[in-house]
Parts: sequence; C-alpha cells; structure tokens
Amino acid sequence: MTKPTRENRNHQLDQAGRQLLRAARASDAEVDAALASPFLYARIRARLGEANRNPAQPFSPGALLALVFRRAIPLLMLVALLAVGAYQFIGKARSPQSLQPSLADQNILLPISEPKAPVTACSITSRSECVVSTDDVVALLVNAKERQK
Amino acid sequence: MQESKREPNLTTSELSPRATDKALDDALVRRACAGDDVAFAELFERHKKRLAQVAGHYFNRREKIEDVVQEAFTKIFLALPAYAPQPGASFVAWISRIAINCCYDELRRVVRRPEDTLSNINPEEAEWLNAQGFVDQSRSDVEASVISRDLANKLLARLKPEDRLILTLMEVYELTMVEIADLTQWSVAKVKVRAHRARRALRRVLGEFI
Repeated sequence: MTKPTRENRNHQLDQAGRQLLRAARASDAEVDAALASPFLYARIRARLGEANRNPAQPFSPGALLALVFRRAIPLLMLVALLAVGAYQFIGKARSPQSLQPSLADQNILLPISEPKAPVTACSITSRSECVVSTDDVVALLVNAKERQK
Repeated sequence: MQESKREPNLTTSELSPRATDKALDDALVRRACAGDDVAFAELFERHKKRLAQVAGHYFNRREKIEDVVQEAFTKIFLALPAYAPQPGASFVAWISRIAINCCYDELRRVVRRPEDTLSNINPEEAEWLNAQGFVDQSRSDVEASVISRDLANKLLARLKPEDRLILTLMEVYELTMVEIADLTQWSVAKVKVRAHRARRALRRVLGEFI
C-alpha cells in the first residue's frame, strides 16, 4: 500500500515542480521590456570594444605558478605563525614549573632530599596514584607508636 | 514524471531553426567574422529575442535578463571566429548553448551572493501555496500570478544552480537526456545522475509546503 502512495505523492510533487518552474519564468512582456532597452546593443558594442582593446592574455604555466605562489606564500606564513604561537602557548601551559607543587604545598618537616620510599607492592607499579607517599607512612608509624604508649 | 502525461512541447522550437534560417545565419557569421558591422547587428536583431527567452526561463527580473543577453552576445561575438558551421549543428543551437551557460554562471553568482535572494516563506505564503498552487504567467489573474511567481522564486532559490539548470531544461524545454548532455557538454551518465538528484531536491523543497 505504501509504494503506490509514495508514487502518487512523487507524481503530485513533480507536477507541482513543473508548475513552479513555469511560474518562475518571465512573461513575454517582460522579455520584450528587457529587449526594448535602447542601449542594449550599444552596451554590447562597448563591451566588445573594451575586450578588443584589452585582449585576455593567454594563461601561461609561469603566470599560473606566480599566481599560486602569490596566494600560497602569505597563507603558508600565516599558518606557520599560528602553529608557532600555538606551540609556545601550549608549551607554557605544560611547563615543568607549572606542574610542580609550590613550596607551601610541600611538607616542610621532611627534607627535600628524602630517602626513597620503601618498596611496597603498591609502589612497584608505575601509576602515581597507587604509590604510598612518605606522609602516609609517617602517619601510620606515629599512630602505631601512640597506640603502643 | 510520465512521458504520456506531458503537455505539448511549446518551447523546443526555440532551439530548432529552419534550414533557410540556418543558411542565412551562416552567411551572416562569415560576413561578421570578416568585420562587417551590419552583419553583426543583423545577427543581434535576429537572435536577441531567442536569447532573452532563454534568459527569461531562469530569471524574471528585467535587469537580469538584459545582463544575460549582453553577456551572451559578447561571448558569442568574441567566439564567432571559432564557430564552424557543421551539417548536424546550427548557429541557433550554438548560441543557445552559450546563453544557457551564461544563465548557469549567473545562477552560480547569485548563490555566491545570498543577499540577492530571500528564500524565507512565511506561514501565510505557505498556506496560500497549499490552497492555490502555482499559477502560470499566461493567466489573467495578475495578483495571483505575482504572488505565485514570488513564491516560485523563493523556492527555486533553495535549489543548487545545476539542479535549477537541469530541471528547466527537462521540464520547461522538455529536452531529452542526450540533448541536455549535448547542450551542457556533460556526459549522459552525469546528466542522468544530476537529473535524479535535481528531482529529489525539488520534491524535498516542495514537500515542505505541499
């Protein structure tokens, strides 16, 4: 049932499309009005005269290359500048200074050149979130001593 | 679109001249190429209406028609030395091809400058379209034909230039795929694909309102 309905619909739209194209065209009166312009032929002659005075130069490969370079070089320079700018911006954002914690964040009780953390099952893994920090170890030891007391 | 339902072909005669006309055209072309300004003017007078009618199928503003006619005649006269009368072809077919290419160029130019077209259709217009449909310019109801044409312009502005070109050649001129291929210098396969896409695009545009 759907196929004939779709065909009918398409037929209806095609019919409307044909009417649309005919409705959009200019009437004979409008065509005649366009041709009635007294300067139509004069303008064509003027354009032809202009074309004869300045004949179009044949397009040589050298001229084509020059055109390509003239357009391409400024564009490539702009792209290069943008790339350098973007590189520097990203470089600053990811600089080691910005990644390191500030001095205030560091635990001042511990020496900077602290000994290596004891090797544990967790610290063997390379994932930083899994490493047990020195602070945690110290806290555990302090708690254990307090309990013993 | 079934062949049996088509209306009589009224416009293809614009593209098919009589044999005597062809001989006269060829003689005028030879004289014009030799620098005869009178022959040049006579060619213009003989064919200006034909080219304006071609332009009138794509544009209905007087200035646009004038522009296309000017552009087409300039190209024709500049290319006259390259025109070689052949047994199968005619001067009329040659200049019609140039005029259609000028229309196509103008359609593409209009697309590049969207300020030339305002394709928004308001609800009242959509309602009118649904109730009245499109009215042919030959009808005496001036107001209806003006509204209809305004709507037609807006809807056609939504089509790609190549869709508009091929639809006009198929539906208004009622040319075959081979004739369109010859006129546009496209391959027959390309014309078929374009025609299919153009019909689908037109159905989509109209389907929103009908």
